[in-house]
Amino acid sequence: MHLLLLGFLGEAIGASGLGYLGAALGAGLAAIGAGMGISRLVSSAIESQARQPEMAGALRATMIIGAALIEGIALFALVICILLAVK
Amino acid sequence: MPTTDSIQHLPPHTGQETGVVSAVAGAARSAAEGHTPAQQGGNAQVFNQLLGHIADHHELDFEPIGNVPLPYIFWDHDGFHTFSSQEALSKTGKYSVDTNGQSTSKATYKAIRTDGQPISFDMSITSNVIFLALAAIVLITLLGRAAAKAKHSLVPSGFRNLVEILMVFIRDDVVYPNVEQPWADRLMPFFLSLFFFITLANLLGIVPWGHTPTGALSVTGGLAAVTFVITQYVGLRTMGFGHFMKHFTGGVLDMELPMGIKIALMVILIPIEIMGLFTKPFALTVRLFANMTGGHVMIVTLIGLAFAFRSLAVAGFMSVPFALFISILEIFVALLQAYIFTALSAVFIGFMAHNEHEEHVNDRDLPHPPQGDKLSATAHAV
Repeated sequence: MHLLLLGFLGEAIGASGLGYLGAALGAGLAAIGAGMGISRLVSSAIESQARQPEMAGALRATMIIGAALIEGIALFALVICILLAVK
Repeated sequence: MPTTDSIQHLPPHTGQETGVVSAVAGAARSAAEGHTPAQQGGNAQVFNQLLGHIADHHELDFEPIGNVPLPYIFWDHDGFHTFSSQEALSKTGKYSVDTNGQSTSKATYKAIRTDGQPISFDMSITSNVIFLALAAIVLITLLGRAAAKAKHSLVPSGFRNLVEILMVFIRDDVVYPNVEQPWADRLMPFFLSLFFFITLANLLGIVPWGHTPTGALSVTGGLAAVTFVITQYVGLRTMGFGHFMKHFTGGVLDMELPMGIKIALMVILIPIEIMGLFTKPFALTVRLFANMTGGHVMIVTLIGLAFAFRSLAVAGFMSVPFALFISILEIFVALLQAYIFTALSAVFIGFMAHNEHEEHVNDRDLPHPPQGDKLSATAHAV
């Protein structure tokens, strides 16, 4: 019974293109999350660089690596969205 | 999907040519002739043809001069098959191309058997292969010249200056802070090759008629796999087999906890640690791929806007300036992504090269300075 319901649901989602909606929403939410994360990271890094300019080089390297890791999480979300969209 | 049927309505010439210029010309022609099908699906067709340009394809485009078809080479059940081009492939009757309902440019199509079955093992020389080889050749030539200059004199000049700046940057700011010493120098050629190769492969996409091999998941996956293998090798050599297997438990075994809780924690942590092993190279793969593809898709979309609106104003004030801006950004992104790939590889390898276990033991069990610590510890115990 549940399986039947799930099947119907799946069919309805496939037919009405709700998967695309989910993918688009997911991509947008991932972008929001990554944007907030990177904005906090960069603002803190700039503050620290202004306070301690002699640390700027090390801070920049750490910041870029952190930004890359945040971006990686957003890209994981993006992969799921792409899987939804091309399903 | 409106794109699948649009290919049938289009005038025949658009199917035969690929590349930006012919796509533009085709769209202009269908716009001039006022085709109704072009209004239905023509924009999608242009967009898909341009997208096909980004994907791996069996052709080198030198539009408007011409195309060079690349060979189809594959292993199937009765041996090797080689075909000079897609026309030769289709003439045999045994094999054809897998259109798969897509209306991208036809040079992106893979070879399949005519009954629809996939072929056993495709090893065609595609544009990715050509441009990877080109990147390697250019790299060996240029860096070889810089190295030859270094043999003649100690004073850097000309191109050697540029190479040295980048090399010293990678060595001092990326590898040395992250990787511990015996491995930092041993793996320096790997990191430097990685950086220069990815930079050059990324930049090849900006050159006219060029193609970005790093815009393919298989290429970036291969690069990440090399990093993965080296990471695990360094871990095995540094920690030894016992500690290497132990680090999958997330350090639970060394904690002072009842056995039941340890086992319960390990049930959770071991799958997480093993997953964490594979998410790192996966993230490396997808990051480089998505960044290189993303920029190109942006350019395609901006150029495509001109065709979507069919207006010279949009082309002049929007498509071209924005596409130019993204192209300039791409030069920066090409360097940045190469740096990030190298830096993250160094960080991951650095985690493994760093003998975590010993340091933890020292931190926790020996609060005294290292001199004579064993003696004082035993004396205390006695």
